[in-house]
Amino acid sequence: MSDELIIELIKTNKEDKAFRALYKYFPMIRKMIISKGGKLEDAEDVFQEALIILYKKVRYTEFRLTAKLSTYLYSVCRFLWKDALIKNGRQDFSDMIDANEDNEESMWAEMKEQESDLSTSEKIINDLGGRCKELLMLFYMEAMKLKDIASKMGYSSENTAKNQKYKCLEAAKKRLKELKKVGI
Amino acid sequence: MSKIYEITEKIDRYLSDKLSETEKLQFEKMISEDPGLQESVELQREVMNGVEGLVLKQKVSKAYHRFKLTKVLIKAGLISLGIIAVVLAVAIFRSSKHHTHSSHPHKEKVFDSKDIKTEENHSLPIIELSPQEVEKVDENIKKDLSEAGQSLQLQLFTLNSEKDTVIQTNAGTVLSIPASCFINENGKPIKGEIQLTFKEAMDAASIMKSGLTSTTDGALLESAGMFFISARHNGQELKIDSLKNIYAEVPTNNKRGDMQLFDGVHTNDGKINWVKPKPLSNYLTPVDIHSLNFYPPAYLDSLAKWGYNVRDKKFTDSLYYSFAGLFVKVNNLEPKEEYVPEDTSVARDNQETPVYKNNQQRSKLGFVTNDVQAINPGKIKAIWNDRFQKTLIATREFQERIPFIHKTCDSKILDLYVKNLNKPISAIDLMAAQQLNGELKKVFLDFASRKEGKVNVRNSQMEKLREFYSIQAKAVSEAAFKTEEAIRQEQNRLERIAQKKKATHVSEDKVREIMNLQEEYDLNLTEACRQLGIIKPVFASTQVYGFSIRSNGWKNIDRLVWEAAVNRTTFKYSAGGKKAEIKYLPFSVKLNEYKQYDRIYVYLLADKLNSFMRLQQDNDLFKEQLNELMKYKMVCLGFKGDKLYFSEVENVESKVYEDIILKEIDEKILNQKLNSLKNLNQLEGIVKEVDYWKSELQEEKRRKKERDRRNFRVKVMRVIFPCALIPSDEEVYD
Repeated sequence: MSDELIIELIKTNKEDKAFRALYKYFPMIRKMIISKGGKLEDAEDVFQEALIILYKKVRYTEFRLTAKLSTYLYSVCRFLWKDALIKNGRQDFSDMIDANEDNEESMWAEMKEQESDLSTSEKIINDLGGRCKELLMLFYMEAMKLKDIASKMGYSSENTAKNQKYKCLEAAKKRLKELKKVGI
Repeated sequence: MSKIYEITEKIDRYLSDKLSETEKLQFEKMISEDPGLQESVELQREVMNGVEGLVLKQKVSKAYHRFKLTKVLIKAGLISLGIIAVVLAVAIFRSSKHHTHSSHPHKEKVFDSKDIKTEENHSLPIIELSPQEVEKVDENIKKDLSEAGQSLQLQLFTLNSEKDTVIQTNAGTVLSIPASCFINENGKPIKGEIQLTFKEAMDAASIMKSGLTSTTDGALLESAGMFFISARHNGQELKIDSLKNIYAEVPTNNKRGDMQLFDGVHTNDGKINWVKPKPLSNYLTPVDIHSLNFYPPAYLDSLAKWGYNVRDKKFTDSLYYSFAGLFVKVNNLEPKEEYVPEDTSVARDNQETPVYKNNQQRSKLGFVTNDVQAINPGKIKAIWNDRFQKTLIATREFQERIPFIHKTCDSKILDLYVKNLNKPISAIDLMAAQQLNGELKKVFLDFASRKEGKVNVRNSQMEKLREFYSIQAKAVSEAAFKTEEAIRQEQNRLERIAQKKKATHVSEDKVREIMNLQEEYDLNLTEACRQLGIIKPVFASTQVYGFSIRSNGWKNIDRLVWEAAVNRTTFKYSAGGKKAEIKYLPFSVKLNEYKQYDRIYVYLLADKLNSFMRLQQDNDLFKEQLNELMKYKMVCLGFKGDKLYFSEVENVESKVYEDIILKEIDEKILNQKLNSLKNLNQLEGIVKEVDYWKSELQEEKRRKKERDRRNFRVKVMRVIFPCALIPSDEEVYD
């Protein structure tokens, strides 16, 4: 699958296929991370995060492919891994990764900031319980119609589903607001 | 509410970019003017981002699992794929074994449909068409001929000939290709990359669409799927080494044993004739034994229904295996001392005391004897073990049979499978069927008819496994038995202690009653004598029982006073113009909330008695007669869980108390209150009493727990031993 096709898939909501195709680069990333003091699980985490970053980059920015996707993923993963190493105080390995060779450091810092905020809201949605989570996912990400959601999730009517969505959304907002107040 | 709702909806549309340009501008203006709205938008945006993040993580990890699955497939020398049920029948149309093709410079070209067509024409000679006939086939027919199967999608795989490779095709066919399996026309194994071409028509629709037919010499075949396989190296058609096989698994929903593999040859009317049927080599594929489920069919479902965590394998295992104790032979047991507590009247009706029965019961139940109508969980534990990895036991086929083996309730059926590990599973099915009747016989005959194969096991290994099986099953049973015995003995011990305590308490109650009676009688008699103006006889107070009545004059008074004290009724006597009267006045307490307490007791502490009186309870009513000669203090004690409740009334009057409210009281404070009692005997008695009730409540809890445990075990037994007669209560163990 060509890089252009993968980008196109992400743009057209077919990220499932794109991710699957992108996994062909995983062995390469795994090798890099293991050679720099990581474990298989670290490689999995880093690679998955890199895929999400790529996805967001494609969806929300004017992403133009200047190098091969594999190169892009490789450098993102290197950043991520260096970051993780520094966080865990593994100077020995983090020094091995020269971050200066890419000029994307600034985009990098920005990306990271967004990430930490996100995990809070993700956690909140997780805490809302399975039904709410599923409902919100179907509505926002799969762009499913409320009518279909109602029949899929067994709500009596479209209106019930709509109401339920509203309740879930408000609950999440409320919780998020509370957490922000506490300063988490 | 509805306003907030509308705003939320609007933010939703704004964030998902669904507002029109004007609406958007308006809304953005609103946002800039309203910090509250701005915050709300931000929060909602974050929530939506959160949803997105979660979905992405899900998708990414799904992609990873797919990636891993493919990895596993390629790595594994043997196939282990969850969804695959194995071959029904496969029709192969393989291209010519002898065919050598002119070189094809490009891969695309190689797999061009035209090429394949040509090949198949070339292959005709090996199948009963003379070369002359081939020559007769004109171009048109050739073209038609190519139609069969040509519309199917071509799947290309590139593999390294020096490695074992497993491939899963689009329709789910799994091919296991051993290293150096392909040879060139000189019979030499190929080194380097091999291009594999694969076509498949696995369901009726694709078979018909592709124009493939399933006939053998004109007779119709029932097909479970067809595939075409061809391998090339640098454009050169390869043969399969006759010493090595490609192992194929074709997915199917209903497996049949009588399916065979046919080779396909093209006929000159454009169809494929299927020839040279071979029975399917039917090796079973062992999988990780711990991924299989050997529990009785309804076991996990029932536990789940009762609210237990069935994912906790440690729990489900230990519970299931604990029943192995039932299979210990009865003659191995030493006779155990059994304690049968008397049915004491103190216990309330609803608190049945566990009644232990003697050992004889055990054999009567049909359990623990040799002809147990159930599969010993110990045996399941023995086979659900790493030692049985890579054997017949560790196959999905065996897992399919396990529920029915449980249903036979016959350990011998299970033994058949475990002791014939090197036989084809269908042969064992047949052996099992011979021992069975009715429905189950049919089930096992059906299994046998699938003609499913075997897993090779070395004889020495099999011997070892057989031995392990019998030893382990016995060991598990004995261990489980000992554990249950230990629990039971501990419970017996606690029960004995409790019974002893209870007996002591009952006898103390009796002593107290007697003492009270004697003291009260003494008091009454003294008073009666005082009223009559006579001297109280000495003998009356020394002994309650067996006092003799010596004189006429006293006898009546004595007896009347005695009866009054016993019956607690007002006593009247007149002799020689003088009257004596001892009044008993009614008193009662009505405790409406009595049901809220585990136990509730009302005591009267009389100033002239050394002990206390515990009032008889009649639902919410506690009644007693007060002796007018004494002053009474009333104490109410309630027990609920670990908590104590208390209320007291000084100088009790003759009336109905309805407004008594018990208040929770700390044990220390209660002790202080009791310590204020002036009469030390009373104090000692009542403290003892409180302690006793506390321990009694503990006991009750223990008993309930044990009863629940046993009832639960009985419930489970009904599920896992469907044929055994499970007695209604604890009798199974005791």
